[in-house]
Amino acid sequence: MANSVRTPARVEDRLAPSIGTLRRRRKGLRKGLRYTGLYAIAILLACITAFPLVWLLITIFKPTYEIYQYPPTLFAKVYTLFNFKYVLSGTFLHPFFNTVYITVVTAVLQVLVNGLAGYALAKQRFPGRVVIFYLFLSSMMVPFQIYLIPDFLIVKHLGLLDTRIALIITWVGSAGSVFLIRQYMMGLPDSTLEAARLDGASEWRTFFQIVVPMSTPVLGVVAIFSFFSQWNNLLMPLILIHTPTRYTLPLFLVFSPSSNPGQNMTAAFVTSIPPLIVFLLLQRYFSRGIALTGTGEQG
Amino acid sequence: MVRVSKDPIGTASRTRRKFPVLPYVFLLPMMLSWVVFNLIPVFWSLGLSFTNYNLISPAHFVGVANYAHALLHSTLFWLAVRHTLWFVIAVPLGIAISLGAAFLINALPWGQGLFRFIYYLPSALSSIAMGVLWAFLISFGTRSILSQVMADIGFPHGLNFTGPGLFLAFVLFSGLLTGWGPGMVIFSAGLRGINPEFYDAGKLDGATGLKATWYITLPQLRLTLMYVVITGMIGSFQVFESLFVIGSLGTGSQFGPLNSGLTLVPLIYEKAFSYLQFGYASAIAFLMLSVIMVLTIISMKYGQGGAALGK
Repeated sequence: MANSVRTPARVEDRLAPSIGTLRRRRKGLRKGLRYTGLYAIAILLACITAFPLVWLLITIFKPTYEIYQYPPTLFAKVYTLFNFKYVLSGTFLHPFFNTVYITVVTAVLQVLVNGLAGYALAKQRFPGRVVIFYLFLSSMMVPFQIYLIPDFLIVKHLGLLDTRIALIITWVGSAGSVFLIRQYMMGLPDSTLEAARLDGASEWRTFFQIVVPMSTPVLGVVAIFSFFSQWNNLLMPLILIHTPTRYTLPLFLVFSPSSNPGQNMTAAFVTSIPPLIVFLLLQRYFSRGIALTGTGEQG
Repeated sequence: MVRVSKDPIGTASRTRRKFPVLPYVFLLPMMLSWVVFNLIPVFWSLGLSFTNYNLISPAHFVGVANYAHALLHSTLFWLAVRHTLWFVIAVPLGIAISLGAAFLINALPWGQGLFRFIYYLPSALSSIAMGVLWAFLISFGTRSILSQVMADIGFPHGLNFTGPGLFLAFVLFSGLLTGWGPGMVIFSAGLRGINPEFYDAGKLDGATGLKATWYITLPQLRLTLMYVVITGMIGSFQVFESLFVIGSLGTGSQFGPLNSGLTLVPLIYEKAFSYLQFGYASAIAFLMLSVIMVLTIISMKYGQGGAALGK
């Protein structure tokens, strides 16, 4: 039904302009009504979608007794910054910066490691390249829960249990990212790369000075997905990290909640801010990335 | 900085080496990570699934006993399968919302970007953070905020969302409410990609409104639709986070009371890391993998992977 809006009264206009204008006036009224209806539905849906967020946003500024108050009210009588004291204390900032560190290092390494592999598979000729590509591709089918138990055992054997390095190295190599990067780099013009080589630029220099700048869209997508998946990573820290001082934010939110729900929700809100900033800054890349992979998750 | 050489033939020989070493150097970090954390684990896990390994005593070969136990004797396994299937069944419902929202947005003359942004917002937030919020809504059982609000709008008094009866339903519902953003973005892109000439041609044949949607839009979206359905199902098989967060914070037990929120991944996690039954947990993981593999292969036919597989 909604799609009929796509075809306005153009055809009639071309055939019989005088009747067309008359009809258009009547159609304009009908269209106006239809648009009002559409916008009413759109706004209603927006209200439902945004409600939990708006509610969260107001709740974190309420004093504790108002959060528990019955009947619950959307708006508070008194607003306070009390809850923000908690997120500015070491209790919260420690896991926060811990997560920032792990997430940023993972994102940079993901772009570098998977970018180099994607480039080699897209633009270099060597024996075994097709086999390696299909091996990577086939491992995309394996859900990462399969790796859970052996990854734990491997990390344990490496003596890296309960370290930040463990969280980073288990999350860097991503067959899905290699696949995306390779598909994109296949489209880069060979002539430019050949020209660089002929001028004596090494493969490394070609990669960093020509290929990387030309591939920012796909590398941006990989960086964003890496950031999102590692920032929200719960399962890996759950099995690899035990010491509370090494908790990441997801672990902290679940295992070290404050007894005050206002403080917990403020912590949850602040936890959402970095992904939100990344989302807002790179929204353009993001929707393209979703179209490329189907989800916002690591493949 | 880098200029095109005037003598490509003369210098071309320089790029020809006997054996290309550099590509392997480029691939090395990824290969290393892939072998250690992807390749070895698959076979290790498969091997473990035929043993009774428990981290403490050495592993003994037990044949297919783990698989047999899960499929034939374990009520918990089938309970987890049943719970997981609820999430799978909910997928088309979420997709219907995604598709409806995409239709709605594409029909708007202005403000498309704004509405798309608002609809996507909950998906962009940390899923863990949303879980904290949901958990607060249902905590304190029958005296939770949600129970009171539900009673006020006409539902029975004293609904207990932290109880075994409603916990799973609540997690399902909360996921439906916030999880349809990515699907909407994909459909929205798919709708914009349909050639408008189809609609002009359809109009001449009398296909407008609902008819055009049924005979033009949906067939054109078929591949996108299949892809989203299958990836959604794969995702629903792997549901873990929401159950764990809402369960831990809202009900006080990891996956809801009395295993009411136990699905397959939580079962794997619990068997492996609470009971140290690594062999049994691996067997369940492989049973799950076999179903997901089938779905993934189908999705690759319809998704981006299709091109690479030559389909």
